[in-house]
Amino acid sequence: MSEQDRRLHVAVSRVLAGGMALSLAAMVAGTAFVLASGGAIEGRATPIGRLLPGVLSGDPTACLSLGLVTLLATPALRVAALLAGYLRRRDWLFASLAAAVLAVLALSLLLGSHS
Amino acid sequence: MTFAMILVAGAVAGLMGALLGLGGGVLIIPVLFLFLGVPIQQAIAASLVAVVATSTTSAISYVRDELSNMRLGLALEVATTIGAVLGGLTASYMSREALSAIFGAAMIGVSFYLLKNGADAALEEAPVDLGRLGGRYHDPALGREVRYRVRGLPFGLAISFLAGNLSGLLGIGGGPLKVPAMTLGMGVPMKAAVATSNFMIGVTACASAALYYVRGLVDPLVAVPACLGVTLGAFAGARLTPRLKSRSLTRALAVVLLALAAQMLLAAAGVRLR
Repeated sequence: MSEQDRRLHVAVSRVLAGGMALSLAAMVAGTAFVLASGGAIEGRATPIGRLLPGVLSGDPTACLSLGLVTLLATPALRVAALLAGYLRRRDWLFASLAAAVLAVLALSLLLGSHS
Repeated sequence: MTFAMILVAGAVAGLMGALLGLGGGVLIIPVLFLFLGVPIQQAIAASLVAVVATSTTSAISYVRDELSNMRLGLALEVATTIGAVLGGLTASYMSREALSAIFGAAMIGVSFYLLKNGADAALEEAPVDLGRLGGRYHDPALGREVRYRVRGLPFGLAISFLAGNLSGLLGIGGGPLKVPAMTLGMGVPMKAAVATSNFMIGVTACASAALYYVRGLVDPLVAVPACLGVTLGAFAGARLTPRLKSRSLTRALAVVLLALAAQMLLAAAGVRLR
């Protein structure tokens, strides 16, 4: 494995670890808020548009939801990191594969949220 | 109480998932639905979110240790994600029962093959030219570097497409298809296949999980303990894998696949376990 490959592995691993750490922090904090507030919260995750105001006002559901959204965004960020990595080393084949995966992910969200 | 039970179930699922290259959803869905009375849609939603957590957590060390083959993973991901999107569109053409029966029967065949020929075919020869998709990693259990060349890419792409397609339709991960396809059909050693499958599963599950989220089917009080549990389990599992023997991993995978196949065949026969 070349030095470049090794660096890309480390970078991708860090993206995953960072996303996971942020997500876990929000989930643990949210759980603590739930316990402090007596355990009664909404049975559905906060819609993305209301996430930020909810978290700022200390709403436990929004805090838990922020953790979930961060988690779900992490694999997509990982693909973006690979795209950046392969573009930087002008590896057009694998850069276009990464771009294709990102495009399909976006398409699925688009198709899914309209059906 | 429920919170603690979901946490424990998640931890077991995460450990198993990280060790065998599965998402762990096959364990989480029945526990939530059968024992804890969570509605099936919310159980699937929580399971998909937990699959992303298993994949992400275990991939942190698999990628860092260079056990995950990122090029191969990326190539196969194109097929899985397209398969998953089309799965949503083609769902109406084939019955769930027919798919379950085909899938169950195929997995019984695969598990017997794994039990019989468990050893890695790829370990016999150490190729000099690894090709664009090949890889190498250090195997502490063997005490040496393992090198392999990837063959059968069209076959791998076809299976990945199918895995993505089925994961949307049946609410399962797709790891049970991808790991055997890589070890048996593509010359990838067991540990690299497990690590690459874990690396890929997150992307497949993230698309469907995001849809469940947007539709308001994710219950944070179910999904969050599942994620926390799975993360603990996967964290431990990903540290164990390099040290275990490939053969024990292969056998364990075969047994899990058999159980899964039985569940699918029962579902096909109209007996719903979940």
